[in-house]
Amino acid sequence: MTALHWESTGSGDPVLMIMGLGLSGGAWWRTVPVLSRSLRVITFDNRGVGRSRARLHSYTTEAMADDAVSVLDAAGVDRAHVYGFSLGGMVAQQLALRHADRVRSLVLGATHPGGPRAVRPSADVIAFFRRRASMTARDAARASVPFNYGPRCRREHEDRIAEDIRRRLAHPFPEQAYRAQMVAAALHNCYRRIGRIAVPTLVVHGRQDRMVPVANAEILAERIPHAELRILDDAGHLYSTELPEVDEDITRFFRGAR
Amino acid sequence: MSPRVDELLEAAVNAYEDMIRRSCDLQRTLARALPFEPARSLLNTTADLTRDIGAVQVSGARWLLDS
Repeated sequence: MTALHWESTGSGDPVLMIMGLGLSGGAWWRTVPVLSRSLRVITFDNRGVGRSRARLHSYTTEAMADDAVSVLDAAGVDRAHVYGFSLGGMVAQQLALRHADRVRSLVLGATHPGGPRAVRPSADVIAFFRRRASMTARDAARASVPFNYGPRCRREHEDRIAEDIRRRLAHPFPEQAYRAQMVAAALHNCYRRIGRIAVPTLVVHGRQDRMVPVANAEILAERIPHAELRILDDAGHLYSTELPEVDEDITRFFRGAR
Repeated sequence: MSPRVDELLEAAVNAYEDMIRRSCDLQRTLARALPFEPARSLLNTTADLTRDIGAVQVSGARWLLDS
């Protein structure tokens, strides 16, 4: 039996939020209060993560996009703005391609289009992901800090990083679900098709991102017709921790995309 | 690879992807019509597997085309 945990906050035009690798919908905790001032924000835990349960894991972003549509169905939403972050951004691309009639606009945060043209992270990041499987959740969260946050955030906002980790550890996930999501990210390939995305799209990326190099944002913005590109100079992968004001810009984008 | 061959191969991959999707939709429609378990769950599971195996094949084919 598959059961996806979802939550709805606020009222207004609906926004579906799709979180990244191994993180529950609760990881949107900084963003939800900002967006929900003027929008209905729907978050959910991807299959096998957090409070969601599944008999089978999702090994493709296509399957994860279909899960996202079932959340829209359960929430009674025909068409929503969609905000996908990292792996969630890959799922959001699939959602916009597979279920175009359900997507009103798109924000792609810190993500890539997949395929051989996507720009891979450096060898030390790939080595971290390989080591990650043998670490405890707490050790992995600590070890990921240099890869997830830019130098300025690590220097000036240790408190924010500590709070992120505390909340992340509140929703542990089975290792198998993490591996399945890794497979989904590795297989993801929308490079050829993203030119078919016809809804207003905003691509957001930290220039210091080591997990997903910023060149991927340039590829996405170049290939998706009329996409806007917002590069955040001082931010790494988890840009909303480093520059929370970006959530205001994203709210404005959604409100303007009707 | 010439642009013409590339276009034809891409069209073939797209057609195969559409076929997978129609097959999944058909299996899910049949599952909804079935009044009893476990046949319904089984059909939904085969629809999921069709989608996921097809997605891996299509992703791999597109990977080769882009290389």
